[in-house]
Amino acid sequence: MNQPAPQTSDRSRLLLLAAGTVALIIFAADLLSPLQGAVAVLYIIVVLLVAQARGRAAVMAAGAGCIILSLIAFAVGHLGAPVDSAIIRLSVSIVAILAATLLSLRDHSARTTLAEQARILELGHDTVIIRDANDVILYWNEGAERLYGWTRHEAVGQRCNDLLGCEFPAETVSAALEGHGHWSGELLRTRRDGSRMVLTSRWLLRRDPNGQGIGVIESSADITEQMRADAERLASEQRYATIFNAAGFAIWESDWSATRRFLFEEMPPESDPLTWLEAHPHIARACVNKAVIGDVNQAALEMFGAANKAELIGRSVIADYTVETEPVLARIVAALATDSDTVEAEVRYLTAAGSPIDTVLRIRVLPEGAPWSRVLMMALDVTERNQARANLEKTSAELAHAVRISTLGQLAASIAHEVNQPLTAIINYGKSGIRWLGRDIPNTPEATACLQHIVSNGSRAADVIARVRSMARKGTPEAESLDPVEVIEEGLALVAREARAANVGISLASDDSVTEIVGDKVQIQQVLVNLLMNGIQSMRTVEDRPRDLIVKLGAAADGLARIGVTDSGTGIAGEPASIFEPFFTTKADGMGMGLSISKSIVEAQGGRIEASNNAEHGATIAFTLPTRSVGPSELSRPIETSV
Amino acid sequence: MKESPIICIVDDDIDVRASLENLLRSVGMSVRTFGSAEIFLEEYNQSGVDCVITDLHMPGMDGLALQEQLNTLGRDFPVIMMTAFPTKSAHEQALRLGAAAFLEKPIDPDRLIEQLEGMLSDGT
Repeated sequence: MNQPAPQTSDRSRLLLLAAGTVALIIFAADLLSPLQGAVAVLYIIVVLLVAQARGRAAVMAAGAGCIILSLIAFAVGHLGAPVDSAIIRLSVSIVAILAATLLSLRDHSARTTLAEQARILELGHDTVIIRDANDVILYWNEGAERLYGWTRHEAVGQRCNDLLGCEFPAETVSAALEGHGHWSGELLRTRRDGSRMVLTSRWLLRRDPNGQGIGVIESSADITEQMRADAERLASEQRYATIFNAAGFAIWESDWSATRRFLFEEMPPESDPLTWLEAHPHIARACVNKAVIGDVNQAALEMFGAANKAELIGRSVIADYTVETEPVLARIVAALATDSDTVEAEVRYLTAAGSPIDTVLRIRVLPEGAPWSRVLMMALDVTERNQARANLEKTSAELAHAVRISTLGQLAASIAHEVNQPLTAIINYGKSGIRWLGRDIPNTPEATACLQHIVSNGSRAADVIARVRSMARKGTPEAESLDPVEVIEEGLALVAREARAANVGISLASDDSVTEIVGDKVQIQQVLVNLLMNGIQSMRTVEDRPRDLIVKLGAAADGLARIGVTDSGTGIAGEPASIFEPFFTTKADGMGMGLSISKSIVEAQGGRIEASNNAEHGATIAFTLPTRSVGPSELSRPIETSV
Repeated sequence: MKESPIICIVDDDIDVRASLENLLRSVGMSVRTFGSAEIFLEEYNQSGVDCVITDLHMPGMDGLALQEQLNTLGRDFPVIMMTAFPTKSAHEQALRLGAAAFLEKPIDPDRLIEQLEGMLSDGT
């Protein structure tokens, strides 16, 4: 029950006072006056006055009070001798008072409701404008004040179109209002500060009791911002679509939600996805098979050799365009299952024509919608890259072989000589043996000694041949466990003659800490021979000190073995690391490939090579090699699936 | 020819020295071996040498230099040059320096013995 606003409480007190006074007067008149009329009917005035001043309770009290007063007056005047007419007059009065009371109560309710509804108009953010038939503004709510910038005071009485510069389809609107009594749509208006805005608006036709249109009630909301946001979003989507379609690499959108469901149905909870999937490769494949292609771009069509999108859309992401490697599938699903949003893997596909393409696949889960429902798959064709890499490795191997042969060529003279020595000895001993035995008394011990020398020299020759053969061998590098001392001593033997000819003393110094190295014997010896030959060369001009070439064998950090070749020559001019660059040479007839190939060999074996100048004279070039066999596959170089 | 002519063998390769020594002993000669020209020059006794067989390519002083040195010191014995790399220039130079023979390795032992016997009987 609402009370009237505070500022009218003075007024209401006045009214109550008036009501009370009038009630007394009427009572007095009713009681004392000899008039035959129904004076008590005048109590209506009292009730009406009270209704203006107070709420329902007071009105009812006033009504009741007036009835009582009438009864009292009647009782006093006519109780002894009740006259019919007097009773009739009393009844009429009571009925009138009741009627007035009830009507006042209804009126009060209606006014309360109206007041509340008016407040709702004020509460809403939406703007409400009420106009008459001439478009003159009658009502302008707080929302309108805020939106348009005109106060109620300024707006009421103005013509709406003039004030707000409305733009709307006038004919459509009139037709709708006349036909249906309402219209909704968009219109443009101008604010007080001159800015234009777009509004969504609902108009209701106001009618008078005869049904005539007398104006419009409208409610509008500003959708300028929303329209701008919508336009931007549309532009953004178009941009996405353009990029998607124009990208130079294959992209396809896919839905992996079935994959996810299947996975979580099949996989026991608490399992580690990767381990479990790797143990169940057929499930991993089945999982990925459930991922469905939603859209593909032009580049994807070209990559797969498909004629149009329809050939690919709807298929599984690993349908006819087979993915070969299953461990990759397990890894992809496991990564997604552990909430990675990006997975990268190298994957081999087959095109529609059946030719294989190597791709680097990047999978990205977008956060929109149900989990894994929008997955972008992007593929970069790296077949050429892999092919080039394979070619490069092949070329490298061939070049290394060529250099080995060329080194062999350089050593040819030494090798020939080395074979010649034992051959000479064999012939000599053979002839000697014949002579010893041919004496009158055959000298058997001497002959036996000759034969033994023949055998040992024969073995010596055979060793040289074996070394030469292994140097010339063109094979794929193999890793095996080797005795480092043996490897080095054989390498030294290969250059022994050269060293002697150049008056260079060669020796091996080992601290006995390394008993095993892992690598390819031929290649390691190639590196060693390369370094030794370089060392010998570097001491060509040394006259004032001994020409020493020392090979040091020891342990390095990380469990590696270190083999260093130290000379007492002239050292390296400039930056020591530069000698490993291809085509670096200080020799007029040098190719300059030896050291750069040595570097590649060492690095392929899993070691490092470096050069430095010694404190006193000359330089040291040292390389490291692994000592423990971690598995033969470690040292070979297949095309790897990258992580 | 002397009863046991003394042949000096100068070669840096031990197997060559040893096998030649064995060979020449088997025909009754005495042999002394030296690992380098320098060692030979230090240790040889002028009167105790009937022939020198030397390798051409050796680290340090090579065979030709040895020959020159011996010429300078004055020698009264023949010098035989042997080598695994018989180049024309080396051959010419050896002959110019007065080598009695220029042999190619691997040496034919019979031929060597023939030549030695020939030289020693001609010689002093």
